Amino acid sequence: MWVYERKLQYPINITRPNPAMAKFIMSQYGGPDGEIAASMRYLSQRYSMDNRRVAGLLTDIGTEELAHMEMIATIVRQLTKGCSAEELKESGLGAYYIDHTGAIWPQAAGGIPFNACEFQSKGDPITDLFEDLAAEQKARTTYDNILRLVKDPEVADPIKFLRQREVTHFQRFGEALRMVQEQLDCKNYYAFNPSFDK
Amino acid sequence: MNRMQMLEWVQMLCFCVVDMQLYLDTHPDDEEAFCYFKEAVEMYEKAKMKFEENYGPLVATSAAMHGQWTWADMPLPWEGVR
Repeated sequence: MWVYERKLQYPINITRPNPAMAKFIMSQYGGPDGEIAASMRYLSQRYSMDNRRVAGLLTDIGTEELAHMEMIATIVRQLTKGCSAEELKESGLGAYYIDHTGAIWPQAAGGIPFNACEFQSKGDPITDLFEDLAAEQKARTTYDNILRLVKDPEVADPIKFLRQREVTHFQRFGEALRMVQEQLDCKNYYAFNPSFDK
Repeated sequence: MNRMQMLEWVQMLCFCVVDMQLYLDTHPDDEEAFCYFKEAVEMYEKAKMKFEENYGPLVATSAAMHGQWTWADMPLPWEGVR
């Protein structure tokens, strides 16, 4: 189960609104490579992961991603709070404002709503870990893309933190993959699915 | 330290704990790492308690240390300074 701590994992205090930037950054909330996708991916995969230590890692990283989800929502909220309908419209958030006013709702920058098709929970440890390695790289690339456009250091700072966490998570999943492989026959890793076959 | 500085200190120590926790998940036998983890946890819990005594609970259960239900009025983390 989860305990909630009423603090951000990393401080965010944005003093200058910028709804145009919010439109892009919200992709890391509800987008295909965003924090909600990451969290749901790892927290879903853990149930069928037969290797207890890897299931533990999926739980711990999935939990950290919830904290990151909160950070992205905070950044988007602070970038749009206090903006008028006109300002939101001018920034490209017009359609979003119509359906959500000043609220936070999980969608990609391009408008596709968050959905479970954006992640997989395949029930095979090797497959799932490769999915996770790819997910961390996709997230890192998205943050790279965001950082090319962000000029405000108050926004860039937490984004850089989140980007670095993706790199670290990638490292951890690589180690988890090796842990899984060590328990399999190195002459044939695909002989059976330890999460399914007896 | 003012409130913001104290909270940042708690955030920094909490991060040390979380980062080392993930590392230990894949390196469970690393004694040096576990030693660091224990130190980080001790510092974190001390800093967290000091913050909570001065500014209110960071976790709902910590409201028990105060004379009333202080959890209700603790700022939400996204409120920021503006």
